[in-house]
Amino acid sequence: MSKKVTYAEIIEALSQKTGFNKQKSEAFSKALIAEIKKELQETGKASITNFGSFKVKEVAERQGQNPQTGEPITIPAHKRVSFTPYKALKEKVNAKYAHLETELIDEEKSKTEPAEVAPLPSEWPEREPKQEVFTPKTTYGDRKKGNNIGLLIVAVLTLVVIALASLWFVFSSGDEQVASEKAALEQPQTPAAAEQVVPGETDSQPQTDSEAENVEAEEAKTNTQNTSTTPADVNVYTVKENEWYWRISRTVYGKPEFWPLIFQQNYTSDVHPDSLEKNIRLEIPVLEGTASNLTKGDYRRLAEASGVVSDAYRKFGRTDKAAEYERFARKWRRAGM
Amino acid sequence: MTKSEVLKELAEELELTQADTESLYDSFVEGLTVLLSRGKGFTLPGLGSFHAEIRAAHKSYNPHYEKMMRIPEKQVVHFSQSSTIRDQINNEGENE
Repeated sequence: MSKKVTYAEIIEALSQKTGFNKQKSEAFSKALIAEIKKELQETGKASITNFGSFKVKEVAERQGQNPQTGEPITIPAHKRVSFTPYKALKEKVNAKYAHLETELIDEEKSKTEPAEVAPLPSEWPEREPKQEVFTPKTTYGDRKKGNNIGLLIVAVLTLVVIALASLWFVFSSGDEQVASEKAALEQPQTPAAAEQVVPGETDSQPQTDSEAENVEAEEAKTNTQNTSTTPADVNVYTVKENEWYWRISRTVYGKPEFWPLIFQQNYTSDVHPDSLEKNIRLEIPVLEGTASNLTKGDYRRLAEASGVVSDAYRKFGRTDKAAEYERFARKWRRAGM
Repeated sequence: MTKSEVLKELAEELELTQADTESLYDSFVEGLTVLLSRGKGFTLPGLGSFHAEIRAAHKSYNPHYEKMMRIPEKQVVHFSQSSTIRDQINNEGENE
């Protein structure tokens, strides 16, 4: 098999590399292996510098199964040699995949959601480019449409500008060609001149572009105004797999303990507080203050919401949880006074 | 036991200078490393066999962030002990 290298091949390579004959090379590797074995038996540990370490490990008695007959057998406690590669070896072996990195699966969401769920109206104009990226996730259909039109306009404008620029380039280079035949030095001027004019042409683009953006911004503003004028402001959040109120609350508010607010907002008579299905839409109430600086109204709402959670738990016979959230409700109520 | 101690003993046994032994030792280790990094396996007689294996990408729970993580694939070294060394360490254990 091509995946395996025989011992003889290793010895040959070693003798070629070092210039010692094969006998010496083999004697060396034998002696080294013998040395490792001796050390393992004496101390239970051995190491090869820059390669890895060996260790004798105790394996406890366990139940096994005869793979042929399926009858249970007891595997007695025994010892085995384990090998741990050192860092240098690990890195070399993994070099092919070293560029890959672990990533948090929820990371992307936790970064984007807070910006989406609790937008600050004053920041809208600056956030406009980001907004375009986020819209597929939001539930405002009309805003999405507006964005698509905006993108279309931008695309058409760029095409027009490119067409104009290339037309101009063709014409001007046509003129220049006569001159350039006489003097090759003039040639570099052509692209430079084209560049000079292109910004002039594109001047019209940002204007219309920003007009389109203004329209979008206004749309977005009206969207937020519709909801943000009253304290009962609500955003929508689509539940992903393996998410509970607690986690969503942390994503949305930065504080997991505010989850009763979300629960209360979406409460229908017989929902267990610990169950949440994937892909359903949750309404997320917006705080009057900020997560770290709640207003009294927020505290009162939290107290009320904790009461609802407590009731919901009681309905399902979880009196312990019910009592816990009653305590929370009292705590929030005191804070809201 | 440190590398220099091993080298000293090997040099005595093989009747070589310590410098020669060291060059043998380094080339030997380097050779094995290169083999493994190319995905080739080999056996050191009496000790065990080594091979490089691709550990598939998988998901795992990160208790610190309380989130699932995506772990990319990775090539790792596997060692399996030879039957001679298995018998030797286990027999010795019984005799003690």
